[in-house]
Amino acid sequence: MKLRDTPIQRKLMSVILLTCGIVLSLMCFAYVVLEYVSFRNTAKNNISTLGAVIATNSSAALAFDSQIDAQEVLNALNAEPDIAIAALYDKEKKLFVTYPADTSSQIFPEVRESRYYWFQGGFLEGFEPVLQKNEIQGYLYVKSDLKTMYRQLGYYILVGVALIMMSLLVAFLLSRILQRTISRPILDLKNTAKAISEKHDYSVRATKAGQDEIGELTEAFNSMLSQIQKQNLEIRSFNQTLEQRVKERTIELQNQKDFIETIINSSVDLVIVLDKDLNYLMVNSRIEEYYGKSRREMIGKNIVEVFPHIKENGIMDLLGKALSGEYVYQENYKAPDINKYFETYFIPLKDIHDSVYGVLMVGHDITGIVESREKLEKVNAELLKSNRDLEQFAYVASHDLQEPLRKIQTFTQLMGENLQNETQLKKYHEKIKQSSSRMKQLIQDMLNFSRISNSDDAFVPTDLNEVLENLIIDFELLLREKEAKINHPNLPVIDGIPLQLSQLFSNIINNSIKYTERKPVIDITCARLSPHDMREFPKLNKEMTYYRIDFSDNGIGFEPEYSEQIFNIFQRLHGKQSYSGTGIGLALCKKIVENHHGVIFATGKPGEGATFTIILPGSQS
Amino acid sequence: MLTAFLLCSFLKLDAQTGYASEYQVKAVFLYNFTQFVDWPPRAFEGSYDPIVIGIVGKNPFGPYIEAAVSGERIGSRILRVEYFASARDITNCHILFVGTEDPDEIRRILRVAEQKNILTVGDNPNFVRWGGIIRFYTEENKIRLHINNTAAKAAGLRISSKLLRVAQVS
Repeated sequence: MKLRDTPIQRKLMSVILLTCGIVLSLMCFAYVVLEYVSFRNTAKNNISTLGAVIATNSSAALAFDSQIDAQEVLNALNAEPDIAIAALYDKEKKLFVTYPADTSSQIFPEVRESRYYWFQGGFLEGFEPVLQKNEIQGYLYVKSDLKTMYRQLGYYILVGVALIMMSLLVAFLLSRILQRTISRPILDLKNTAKAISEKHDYSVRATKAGQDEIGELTEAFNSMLSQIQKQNLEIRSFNQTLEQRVKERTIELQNQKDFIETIINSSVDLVIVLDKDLNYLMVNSRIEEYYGKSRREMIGKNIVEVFPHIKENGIMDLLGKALSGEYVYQENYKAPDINKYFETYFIPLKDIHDSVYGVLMVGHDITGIVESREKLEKVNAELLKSNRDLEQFAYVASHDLQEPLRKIQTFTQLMGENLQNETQLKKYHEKIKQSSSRMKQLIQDMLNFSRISNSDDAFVPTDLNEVLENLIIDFELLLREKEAKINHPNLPVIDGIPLQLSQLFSNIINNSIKYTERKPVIDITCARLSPHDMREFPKLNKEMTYYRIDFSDNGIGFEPEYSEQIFNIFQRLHGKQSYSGTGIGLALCKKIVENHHGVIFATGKPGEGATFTIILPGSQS
Repeated sequence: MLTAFLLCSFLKLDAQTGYASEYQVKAVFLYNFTQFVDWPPRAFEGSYDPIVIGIVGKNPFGPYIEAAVSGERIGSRILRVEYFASARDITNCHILFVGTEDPDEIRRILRVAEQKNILTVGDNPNFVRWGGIIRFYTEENKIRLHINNTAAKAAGLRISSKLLRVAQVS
């Protein structure tokens, strides 16, 4: 941790200890250096004094060439254990005696004539001239070992270090106690400040410890707190006012928004707002009713993401136009997924700079109108057809009904002219009877036909087997007479009007028995219409089940070109002379099948029989 | 000083030959005595009076004595050598080498010297017994000194203890 970041207590102690340590170290260092220097000087003084004494004492020995005496003098150095070696040189600088006596003469240096001492490699050595009344008698050389001195110095250093340690310890203990007078008020102030910043309680005041700078700081801090507290109160009251106003304004805005939203959602039209990238900005609640989609989920999504199919039906072009600033109106749009019709307005939304930032789509549901129009068109078409049928009917009726009437008129006239001829009368009477009977038949058939046209009988599940069986019973006499045979499989139960279905089957079978020259054989087959076969008949609803029933006969057949005509009313392919019939039967069949929402057609060739095929739905719903 | 150097060169020369003559050494010793002996003030008339080394009788030193002292000074005093033929001739001097072999003559000389503050030096084995102060003798090829300190004191001379230490004292 840097000294800058340490707590103030430790900082104070560090400063004190550091100062003490440095000062003490410097002192000890100076003391040791001084000691060292003074030691050296003392050593030099000691050795030179000793040298001077020895030199003085040895002057006579040198002057009078007494080696024994000189040796004795030198041996006195025994008392000084630091003296390693010593020697006396004579006047001619020749080695005279050495100390210790047996020291090799090799290790003694050359004589220096003047008094001189020097330190070298842990030794102090020097020369002292031996004088007697200023007359040089020779030279003394001494060499002192400084080991003792250095040991002493080392001891001093050790003592110094120990003193420093002890002083530092004392300084540490003292500073621990004394720093509190400085750090305690600062720490108190800090703790107060910290507590305030954590609890935001600006009513707390720091306690003042004294009149020093920290006391002044505490005072300044407290006065700052007072100001903060005051300002806080002001800010809070200001905030409250502001909050209140914001709340009121928010409520106001919310009310306005709710009002607008209520209006938009109350609209019967679809209201959609898209941004420039065709993402939903706003949708009114109609969308939920129409599409069952959640408004919330739509907002922000792209229109293509929500309705992928609009890429193909031209809506994108219209949106593009609107985004380029054009007011677009689409008269009729069929929403494919919900089978609804809309007239739609694409209104560009412009900002104050007149640039488009979105599109407002308003879709007005016109399904009712479209449907009623379609119904109207359908009814109209039916009416037109019915009209045509009626015209045809009137024309044919007038023509066909006139024929027996004319016959009756003719034979009545003939009867008037031949009143006496009983034979003739009988013949004419017979003819009139025949014609009137035929007329009755015609009128009956026409009534049947017209009744079916206006039929609104209810559909019920009808067992076709039952219908066929009952017919065979009804036709029993005729069948026996003509020696006719009917082969039929098991037939389904379908939704139908039993009486009409019975009439349908009856007319077809009757037709087959009527138009034949041989013993009639009728083969009935029945199968469920496969989806593949269904494709041949575009009129059929592909989602419903159909049964195909074929009636094949061995009759006279017909030319294939008449396969359509034979179902028209009063259309007869063959002369009345050859075959009886009113020309209404097959038209009636066609009417019944169409009434059951099915298909009827005939195939055949002259002389090879005919096949009547009817296709009927299994159910009517 | 100059003479000291000259003397040194003499001695060195002799040292090279391995032999310094007996009287050569004795001449140096005579000179050396001036440094270890203090004369009473009355021995000199003035502070610049020379120290006189007298040689009575025969001069055995040849030129060495002159060489040993010439140019030397003891304090403010120069050294001078004077020669005396007999006891009667002896005048004021401070060191007197007795070169005479005749014992009577020696005694006579010593009696003259006793009156004055003279350091008497001689070779005669009885020299000290007769009242002389310093006698040269030879021991193990070295010239040794025999000092009669009582006589010296009687002559008012103070001989340095250092000198006494290297000599045989009686």
